[in-house]
Amino acid sequence: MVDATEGGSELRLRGPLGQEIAIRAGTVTVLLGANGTGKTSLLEIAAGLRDPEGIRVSYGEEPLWLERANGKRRINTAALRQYAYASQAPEEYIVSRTAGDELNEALKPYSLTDAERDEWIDRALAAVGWDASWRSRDPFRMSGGERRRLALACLLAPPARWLLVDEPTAGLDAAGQQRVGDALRKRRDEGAGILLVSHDTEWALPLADRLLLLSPDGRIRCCGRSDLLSHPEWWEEAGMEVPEWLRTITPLLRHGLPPDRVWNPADLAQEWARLLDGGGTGANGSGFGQSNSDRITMEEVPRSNPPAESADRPILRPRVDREESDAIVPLAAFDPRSVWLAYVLLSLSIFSRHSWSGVAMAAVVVLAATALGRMPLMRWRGLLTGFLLFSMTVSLVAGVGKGWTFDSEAFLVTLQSMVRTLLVMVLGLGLALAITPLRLRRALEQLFSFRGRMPAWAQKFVLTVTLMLRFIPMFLHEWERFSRHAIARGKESSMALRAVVRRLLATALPFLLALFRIGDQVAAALESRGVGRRRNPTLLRTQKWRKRDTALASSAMAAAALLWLWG
Amino acid sequence: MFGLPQDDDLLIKGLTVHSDPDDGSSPVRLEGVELRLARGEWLNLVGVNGSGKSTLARIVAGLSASGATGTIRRGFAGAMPSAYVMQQPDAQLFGETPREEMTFALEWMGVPAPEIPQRAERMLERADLLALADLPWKRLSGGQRQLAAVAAAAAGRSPLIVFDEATSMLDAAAGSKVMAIARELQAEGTAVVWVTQRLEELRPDSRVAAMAGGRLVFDGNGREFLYGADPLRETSPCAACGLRLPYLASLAVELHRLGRLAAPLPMTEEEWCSLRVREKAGAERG
Repeated sequence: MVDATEGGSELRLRGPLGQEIAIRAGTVTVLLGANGTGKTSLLEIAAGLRDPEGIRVSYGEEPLWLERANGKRRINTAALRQYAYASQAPEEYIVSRTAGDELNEALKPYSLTDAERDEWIDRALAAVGWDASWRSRDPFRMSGGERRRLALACLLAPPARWLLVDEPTAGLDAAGQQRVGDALRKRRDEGAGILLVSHDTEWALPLADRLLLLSPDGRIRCCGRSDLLSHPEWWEEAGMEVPEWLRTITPLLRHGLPPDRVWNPADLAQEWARLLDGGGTGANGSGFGQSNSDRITMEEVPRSNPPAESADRPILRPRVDREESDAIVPLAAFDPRSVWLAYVLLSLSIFSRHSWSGVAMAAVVVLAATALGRMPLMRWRGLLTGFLLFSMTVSLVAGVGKGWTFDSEAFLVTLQSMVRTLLVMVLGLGLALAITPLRLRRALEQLFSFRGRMPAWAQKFVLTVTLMLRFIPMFLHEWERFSRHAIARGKESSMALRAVVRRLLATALPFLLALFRIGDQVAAALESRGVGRRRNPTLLRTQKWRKRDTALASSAMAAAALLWLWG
Repeated sequence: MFGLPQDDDLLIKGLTVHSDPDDGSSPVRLEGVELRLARGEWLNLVGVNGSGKSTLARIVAGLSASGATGTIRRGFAGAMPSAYVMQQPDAQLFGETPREEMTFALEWMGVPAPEIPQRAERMLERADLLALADLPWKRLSGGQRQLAAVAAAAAGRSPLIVFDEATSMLDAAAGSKVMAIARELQAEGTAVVWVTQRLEELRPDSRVAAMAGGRLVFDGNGREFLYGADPLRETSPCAACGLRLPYLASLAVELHRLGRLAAPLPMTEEEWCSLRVREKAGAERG
């Protein structure tokens, strides 16, 4: 039997300025904060799923990241095994064909005997109110609520000392919320440390031993839940509204209602009645009984004073997701048609280069274009590196001839054509960044339309292509989300082929399912906007061909002519 | 209860939806749903995930539904699909900036080209997005993106707009802004179907329809939905359809049980503020 309580007893997060937050084992800590503050990012940093941004994380004695001799970081798999993690909508990450397989997968990183594994699985199933017969059930034939329950079992199955849980009650019915609460309480009582992100204060506060209030500026206030009841200004300090339930009972708290009676409405009702009857509450009884002998009125709670400056709150500032460049690309100021024309001219001339010097010249032209257009190519570096590696591999394969001889000419010819493609691709990516898909659509429609009308096939084609472009960033975002989760689940960072393939599968399947969901939503939104139902939408002519467009098109023509002449 | 039936009411009778359109014995998403919606009415539609509320909302909005049987008369809502706003703003935004989004919406409404820039401007103004009109989405918060989606969906002044958990990803401030726009639309005569799991959004006297297991199990007002006709004798319709009774509502029921609080039990913050709780059991009403 693996002892879930071995190892250190604190999960520590140390900010770049050296301030530290420690979360003790055997407690539930609830992380609160306004939307967009970075609660999820902080949880993901604690789980090692994203760049720590200078925040040092350790599970007991185990640091989450290990420094290598060459200065690069490597994730510490011993630390990864310390926690079990459930993201928002955890059922979206399920990949196995039976519930038993999914649970086994969650236990795989731990060295357990078969008997131990069975025992942990049975315990996890029991914790969500299921018997062993559920092991053979197919998750994809379960209802949404049942899949969610399986995801909860997967969180509870591993012999991990820490549970990191993100918004576990969102979308659950009352019974499901109760079940999650009970299961977390039980694990806490068995010694587990739980870090919980939740905006559902009515559900989360009764569970909480400690609270972390994350402000938009990255400051964190650490307090007990009773302290929070008597300091409504702390909510506002963290950029949140005081919840309605708390605003409503605050007059009672001022009249001496003991804070520990708040968490259960039945207790609170009795205490309220006792206060009314002059039943006194020991220390606070006298003040209340005299000043308000007849009844407590629920007067409006006065707005609290502006929060006092508190330098004592440590700063743990995770970067909220942002694209690398917010700058507006200068090309956006041109008519999409001139940009498009320049792109076509340059691409054609690049594709027709057949000497290495010509390709080199083309590379210079492309680099100059990206520099002048200030295209943020860094955003696509993953894609570009991938394509470069792919080109090298393809060229090498092309070069290997019969009897393992190497044909350098074949290698070079292939490499040249791949490089040409890469250059055109760089230009194309720049184009995609410079012209938003709908502007491109409008420009293309203006090209294709005749007397303000455009054939249905062209309309469909243009709309499809431009919408695909529109949703590519969303697809990238989804892919990243699922690949992060694959690390939390597999608890390995190995680059060995088998491990990479396993992670790829654990990413690809939920990703495809997510694409279907997005597709369904997009289709519904388009349909409700009348797209596809109305035959002829208005063609809006917003683009004007100006001098600068002529200038752009002619420079592109000049560059293309130069390339042609070069040979 | 909510006005007399009119000829142009949206009317749904005996609506059943199978999850597999070709298999009449497959599990049902909706079963025998009967619903009437009047022009300009506000209907809250509640239920847990999987209760069928989203399926019903889509059908009410006039979006295509496979596997549906029964009678659907769209009445005042007309033959075209109605405006429909979903949970996730990002899947329903097709432009790259708020202005582009409004323009795209108006183009597909068939609005004449010369009117488009001006109307787009007005829509942005209403959603409080004028200052952000030409910024890319990533510079806008989730709440602002959702407001843009609402404004774009409401572009055509459709007689009906359906909000499908449109506030569930938003914080309280952004959520009330979306709600405010919805109320404005209703004041102008648009019927609103407001699908939600946030019970604090229900008003005591507004109409609530609750779904459970694909059936419509409750159709009444907000207060009845939370407390039932007699909170001490019967399970509240809210709990019966699997939703958690809010903390303050549980507190009201407990005070009522102790004889300290008389019906009608309070539902909103204003009602709680003006509340008198009785001193002793059996004392006269406060």
